[in-house]
Amino acid sequence: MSVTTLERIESHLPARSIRIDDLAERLSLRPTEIGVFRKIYGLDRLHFDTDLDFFDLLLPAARRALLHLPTDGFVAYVIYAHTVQTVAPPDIDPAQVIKRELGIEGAEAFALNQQACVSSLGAIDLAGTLLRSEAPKGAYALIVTGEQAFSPKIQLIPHSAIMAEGAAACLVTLDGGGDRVRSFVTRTLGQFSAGLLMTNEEIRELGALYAKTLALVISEAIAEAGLRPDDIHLIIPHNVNTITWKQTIKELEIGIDKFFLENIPKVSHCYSSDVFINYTTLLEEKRLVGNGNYVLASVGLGATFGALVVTRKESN
Amino acid sequence: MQRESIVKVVGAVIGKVVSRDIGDASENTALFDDINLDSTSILEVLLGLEDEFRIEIDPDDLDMDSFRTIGSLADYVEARRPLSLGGE
Repeated sequence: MSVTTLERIESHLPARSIRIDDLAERLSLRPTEIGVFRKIYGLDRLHFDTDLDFFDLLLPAARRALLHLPTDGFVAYVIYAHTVQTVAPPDIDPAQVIKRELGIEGAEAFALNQQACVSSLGAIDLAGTLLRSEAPKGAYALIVTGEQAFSPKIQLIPHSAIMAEGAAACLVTLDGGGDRVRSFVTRTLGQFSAGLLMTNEEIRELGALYAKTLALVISEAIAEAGLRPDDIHLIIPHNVNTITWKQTIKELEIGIDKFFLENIPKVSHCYSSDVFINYTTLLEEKRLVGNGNYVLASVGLGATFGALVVTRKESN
Repeated sequence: MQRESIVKVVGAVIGKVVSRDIGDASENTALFDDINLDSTSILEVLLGLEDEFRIEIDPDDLDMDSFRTIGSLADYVEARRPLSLGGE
């Protein structure tokens, strides 16, 4: 069977970076709550710019990813993967705008957000399935992620995260020269489907299951890829907070040095873009090794846990 | 500092976080069920205790069993107080 390959991942952050303290009034957070987010949750700075146009956030990474489309290739699918259900006024269909602004013709453009912050990983899986089932040779899918924290209600995830702005794009095809997708595992705990509207009791119940479930999904993805924990070079996680990941790490046979947590205090949680943003940071810092195995992992409100294993392309 | 005084300070720090007097609370008062603290406000209390008792909270070493009651929180403080302050 053909293998889904990630040909290029790009990301884009708004130029304006602020400290979480600067959001205290907007999010109605007491100084002591900010202290908890800083000292316990490991947050510090994030990118956030209320003056930035939505599509000026989304398009730069997508444009750069498209530069890697070969001359004999074509984009068959534009998939806008997001977390928050409503990201634009009802008369604007972001997937269609992205397609039009990028000058892509003939592609199907649509959005998905059912897995919330795991939607970016779900989009990779879906892109592979669509390309395998119906697309002609030379077809690519362009996945675009990114959204704005346009309201305090979608910026503060109680007891968990302060959301930030960032965008990314991932160019996908079959049997290309890029990173090979080895496995994708998700688990949705539907009893927490209320998401941001969960009661305190539900939040506490989810908190008790979070680390174990995330660890289980990561372990299953590694096993499904035919690998062992020792075979993994790095886990590339979502940036929810530090303490949640440290709790998850305690459930795994993988040392903390294999988790890329360095972006948590720098960019915070950018909805479904984190795994791509973190990937590009590692790429820029030349920390992704040829043929290395990486786990992209995220959790979405709702509550979906997801992990995707890729094997990096060979070094040039 | 005696146990009774520690419990009293713990109660005062909790009262500050929840913005109400919990003067009738005892060692057995449950933090979640009786005082309605949530996971963030518990951590706010911890940071408050860090200042009051000059203890160091290690985010990597947080065990929720320490946060069941005012008494267990007092135990947590006592276990981390610097020896030099033990006779206060």
